Amino acid sequence: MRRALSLITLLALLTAPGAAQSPTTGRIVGRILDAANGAGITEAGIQIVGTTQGTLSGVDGRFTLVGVTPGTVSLLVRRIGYAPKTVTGLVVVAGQSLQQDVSLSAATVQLTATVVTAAAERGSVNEALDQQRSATGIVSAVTAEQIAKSPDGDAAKAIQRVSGVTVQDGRSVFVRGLGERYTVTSMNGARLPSPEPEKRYVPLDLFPSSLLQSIDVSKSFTPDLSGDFSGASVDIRTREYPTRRTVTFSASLGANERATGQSIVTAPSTDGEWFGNGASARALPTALRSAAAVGQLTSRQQVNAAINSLRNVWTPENRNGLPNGAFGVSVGGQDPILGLDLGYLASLTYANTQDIQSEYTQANPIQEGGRPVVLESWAGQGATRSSTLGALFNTSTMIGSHTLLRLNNSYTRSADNEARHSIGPAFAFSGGSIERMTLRYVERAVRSTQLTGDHTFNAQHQITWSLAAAAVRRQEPDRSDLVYAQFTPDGPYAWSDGNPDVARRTFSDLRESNWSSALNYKWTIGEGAEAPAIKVGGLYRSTTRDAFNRQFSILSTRVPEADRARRAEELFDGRYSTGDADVFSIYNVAADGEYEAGEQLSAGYLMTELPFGGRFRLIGGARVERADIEVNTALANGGRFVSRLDNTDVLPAVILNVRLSDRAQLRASASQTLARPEYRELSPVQYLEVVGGQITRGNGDLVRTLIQNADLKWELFPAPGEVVSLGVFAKRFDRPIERIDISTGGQPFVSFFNAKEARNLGVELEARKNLGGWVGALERYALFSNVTLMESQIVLGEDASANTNADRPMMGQAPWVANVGLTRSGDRGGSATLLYSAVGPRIFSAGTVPYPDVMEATRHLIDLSVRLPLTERAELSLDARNLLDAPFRLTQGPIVREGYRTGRNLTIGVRWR
Amino acid sequence: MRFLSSLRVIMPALLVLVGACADGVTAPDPLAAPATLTATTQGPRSVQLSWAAVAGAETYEIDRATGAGSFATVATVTTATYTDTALVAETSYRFRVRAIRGTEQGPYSTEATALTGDRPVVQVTADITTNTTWTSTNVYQLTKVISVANGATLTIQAGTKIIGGTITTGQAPPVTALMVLRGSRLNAVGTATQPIVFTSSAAAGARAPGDWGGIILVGNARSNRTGRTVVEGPAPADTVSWNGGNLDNDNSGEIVYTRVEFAGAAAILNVELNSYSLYAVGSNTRFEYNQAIRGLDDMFEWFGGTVDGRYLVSYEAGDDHFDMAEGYRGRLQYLIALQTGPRVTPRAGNPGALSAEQNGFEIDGCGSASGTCALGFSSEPYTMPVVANFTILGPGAGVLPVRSGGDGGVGMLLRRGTGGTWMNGVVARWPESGLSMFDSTATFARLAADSLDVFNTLLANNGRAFDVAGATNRFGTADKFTDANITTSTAAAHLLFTSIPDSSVAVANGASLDWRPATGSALRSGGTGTTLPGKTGTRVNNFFGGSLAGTTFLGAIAPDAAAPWYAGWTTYFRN
Repeated sequence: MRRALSLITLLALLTAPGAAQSPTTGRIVGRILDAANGAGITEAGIQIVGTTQGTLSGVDGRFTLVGVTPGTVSLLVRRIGYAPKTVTGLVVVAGQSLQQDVSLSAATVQLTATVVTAAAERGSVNEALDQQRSATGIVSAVTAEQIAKSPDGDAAKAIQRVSGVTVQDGRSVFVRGLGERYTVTSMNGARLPSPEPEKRYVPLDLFPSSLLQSIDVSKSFTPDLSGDFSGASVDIRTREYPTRRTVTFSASLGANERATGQSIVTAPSTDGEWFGNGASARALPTALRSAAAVGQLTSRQQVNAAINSLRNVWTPENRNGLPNGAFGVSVGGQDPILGLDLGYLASLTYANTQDIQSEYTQANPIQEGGRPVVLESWAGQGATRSSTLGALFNTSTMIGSHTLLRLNNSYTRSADNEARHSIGPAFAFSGGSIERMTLRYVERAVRSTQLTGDHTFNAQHQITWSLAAAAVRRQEPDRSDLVYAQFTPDGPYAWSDGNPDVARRTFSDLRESNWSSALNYKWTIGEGAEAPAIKVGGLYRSTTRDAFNRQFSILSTRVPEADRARRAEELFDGRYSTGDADVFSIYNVAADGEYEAGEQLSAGYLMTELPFGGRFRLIGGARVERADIEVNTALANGGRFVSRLDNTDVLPAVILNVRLSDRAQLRASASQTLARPEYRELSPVQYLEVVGGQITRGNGDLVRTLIQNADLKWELFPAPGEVVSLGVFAKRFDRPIERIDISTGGQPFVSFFNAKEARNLGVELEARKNLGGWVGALERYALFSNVTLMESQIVLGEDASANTNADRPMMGQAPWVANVGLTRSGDRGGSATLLYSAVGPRIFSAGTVPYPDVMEATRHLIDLSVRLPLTERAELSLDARNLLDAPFRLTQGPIVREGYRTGRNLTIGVRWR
Repeated sequence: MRFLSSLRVIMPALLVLVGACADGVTAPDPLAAPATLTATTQGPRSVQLSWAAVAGAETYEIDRATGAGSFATVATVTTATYTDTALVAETSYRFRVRAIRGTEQGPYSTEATALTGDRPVVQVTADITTNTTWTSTNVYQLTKVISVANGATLTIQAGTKIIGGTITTGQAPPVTALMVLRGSRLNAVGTATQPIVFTSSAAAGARAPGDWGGIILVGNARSNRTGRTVVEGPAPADTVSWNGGNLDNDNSGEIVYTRVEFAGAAAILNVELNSYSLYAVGSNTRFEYNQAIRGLDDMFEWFGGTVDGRYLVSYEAGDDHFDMAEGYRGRLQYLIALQTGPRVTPRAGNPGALSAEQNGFEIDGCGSASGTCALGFSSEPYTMPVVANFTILGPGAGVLPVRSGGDGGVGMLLRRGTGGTWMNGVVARWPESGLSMFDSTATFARLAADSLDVFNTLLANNGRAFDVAGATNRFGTADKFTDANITTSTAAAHLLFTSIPDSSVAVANGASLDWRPATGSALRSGGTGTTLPGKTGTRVNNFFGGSLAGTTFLGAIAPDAAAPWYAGWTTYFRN
């Protein structure tokens, strides 16, 4: 009771600003930053000019000044080794917190004291933060501010705006054209587990963009990063708390021209689906749980009971598409609670969207007369209703001025309910026409908890530590695939005998979790910006995965002719499966999709940061990493097969930053990194892919890939918030793992092998520029663009176990990626942004000879976002996505293997705070 | 103990002494029949006999008969005990004994019967990389997919038994098979009385289709695939590429008088092995007198290659009886396929399943739509077999799956760009159709090029004889065969033969069937005679030391043949 009361009190405190008493003083909080690299400066003296009031900055350069008399004040910031700075024009209001960050330049760069206004100082702080992102490595980022001006509702859409980044299937990230195996994803620095059963990636569409502070994409390796970094490391940074207590509400409503209000193919839903909680209603019936049980059912009653235990849902329905909707609420601030100054942010978002693949076509080829022609093809529609729920609770506090503690928690959950319907002639049915119906429900959940500590002692010693635990779960319960066939031309589509694929139900469930602990120590030898530093640290991470998969096929040759055209729901309503009726049989399709995997990763590193000559900064070191992976596959006979990969690697890296001028710098880096096989790929057991449905065989002989990386980047910062950069990169992959098709005399299958080597070269160009600098009338316009040109080549090697074209780019690598945006800022913070993005034609999958590669055609996407402030506290947003309704197309020579259109989307939203 | 055994020596001596004493007094009594003859199995090769000594006997004559056969004397001994050590394992023997005195022969004892013990089971755990012989005195148990590699020859003696089963120990894959790699050979030459049997490790009566994998031969002849194309099946078969060969007269050994029973295991659904998988096997390989029984996938499948074959019997397939593809160019004569009901089903829990498309012949050009057929179905070399004197008997209606397109059970399915010649055969009792030709572009091109011929054949009692006009992608309509001497009939198919059960009657376990044409059967005539039409005559030379002869009869055996070629070594087991 008392606890409940205190909770209510707390809530009241949070939501009713200033209700308790009316204070007579205000506060100033902020950070002191190094202008050169954005790093926090500790032990800097902050003083309110004309008073004796002052404090020293603590961990991360943070400071808080309390009891400031309301009015306009100036701050004087001083630190040995840096030029002092006075910031004027800070307006302090009683009972409120004012945030003011201040950047200091090293005394060698700037000797004289400077005086700047508070407004101007914000620009130079921005610049410092820009620099921070690329201080050690080569980092690109998309920030909350940029996301807010775009129509990007989730992290997967937002990250596409980062240079060199492409997103496949709407969720998996390719950086510089390298596949998902070369990208690792973390949240606030701690690795996120992968919820995908056959690939290792974190589907970024799980994260609502309103929870994000930024998405940082590191493209060059430093020893304090994870060694399996290889292509890039994506770090999702969740939002930080605002200084002032803020409550934000947002809501939006949207429509898709091809779905909303139109009759579209729809999967029947269950309770709880709206909240991403429909899996329990689709759980695997107990009668089917044991793999061997179905095969061992002997009596007809048992077989019928097993069949009847399935949910009697097979056929997609046609219903009018619902509009898209989303809302969010967040509360954040910084308040003294229990004697500690506690920063906090709690956020909850929910979205329900209807995606459509209309004009859906799919085709398979056959080689005829030296070129591929269509062997079989289908046309129809696919549609997915998705719910996404995101929750965040971050809090942090300073204990004294030397200790900063942070606790970050996040939870996201999504549910995709997909229906697909298509009709066309099928090779396996001797050219007869078939009707394919698929119902699919996928639920994903990610939770992450981190406790981090940051301790600084006399400005020279910094210790950071973190304890993190994260878990994911992906459930695909009760997928149904039904094939009806046309027995006579123009006749009805009807139940078809015998083929194992006519009625299939799949249940899969994957859990992965990890926990990690990390400790870092940084010793800055001496004072000021020129002081060299040594950094050592260690990491231990333990990951476990448990994947479960059951697939059943129902077949019957005994459905009477007259009843075959009935809907499956009628055939399975019990009329043929009651008592000892002998009509349907049920088979296990495969049990080998089940496995457990464990990985123990321990790592240590040593690196130094050595500024010299006033212009140079050399960062060098090495990381030692040992990974011990064990994959334990369950076999159809109940046995288990164990595969193992245990490697210890030394991964050196060296980076040189050269400050060419106040506004330009050059960075060069060279490193070695690695990529390890996905767990499942190590198990040499044939199994059916859960996601792709293909027969797949792992390879116990796979070794990890070693990657040598070289980067060179020139950057110019013409004005605060502006950047022009040009980078080149080169990578060499030693024994990269490629997914390949293998032909047999019968069913082809997919496998993995180590190719000999691959090379990846590219140029990245990025610019963010206010047009006012060129034409005064265009002062309100800002242009940004990033373009990456890439080239890669894979050498398969003598083994040639692949039948794919021997000389080709790596899979997924596009020759170019372009993002262009134009923003017009309005009065009172309004804006309008036009965005263009496109990816050059890339290999979706390598063709098996004699077929050409399957290419994903370029899709030109144009989006428009308008932000209109209505009042001081309310903003109206208008987002239009996919204005060209560009088609998605996979082509193989003259054949369109797969194609569809997703329709134009229009969303109207409001935001209030 | 020692006292007792010395008594055993002394007592008969005393008896002889007593007899000798009596001799002087009266004429000796006639010899009695040895009493209480007992036969005790001592192992796989020996049986110990003992009986009560007969007064006055000087020696004993021991007769033995195998099974129900006739007796022959095998030994003469002086004591009332004998151990026969020259026996064959797992065989029933009858014994009798009589006493001998001078020229006097006493009456025979009553018969005693003994079944010799099981042969010792030798576990085969390692691949065979040096020349190796498996002897008929042992049973060889395959414990995984055993490869004969490194140019080694595996010789298997006549009468040897090889078993394989589903592995339950958690090994991957849980499948056993024998795989002979390119450059290695399998010399498995049985005899009509001592065939080499590859079968399930389960006890007779408890065997099921798909219990083990089968025999895989990988030769070095040409196929029409390009790139790397591997054996369909579990590891390590799925790492063995079988195309790219260039030696059409390659030799993979001799496979003669063998049976492969209950094979076709799968590691996962739809990836089953065939009973006999012949990948790119060359023409110097000898392949005759072989039977496949109740395999879960195809019974005989040729993937490219040129190996000839004759005297092949297929009983109860889970998929096709005779499957040829990927540029197979061998000649085949005297083939029997029998499918009855109910449907073949694997053991409960087996990941394999029967095909939805079960046919007698299923012949493809380049069969894959998924790649490595450089010109699609019409890749070269074309599939061009010569098949003569085939008896392909289906299960009749109501057994096989019926599907869209109506290909559920076709006697001869010729498709995907195949050529070839079929003659002097009979295709009967197939529920869908007797003869069907698919792929109006690729396969029709072979027909138009006069490379695809079916003639002098009886299509009897099938759902329909030919394709119907207008069916999707099918063109094997009756009008294509107007001059081909193809006759059709609706009479009951089993009556064409001397002793074959009706489709509604299950074939008994261990049955011996008589495939000779019945009196007055339509099979007795209608054949080509020795003069073969068209291009065929040039394609039948060098067939088992002669040439493939045309016959006046149809089907796999001549009317009134004195010793049917299938007698003795073939058998029909359901489990």
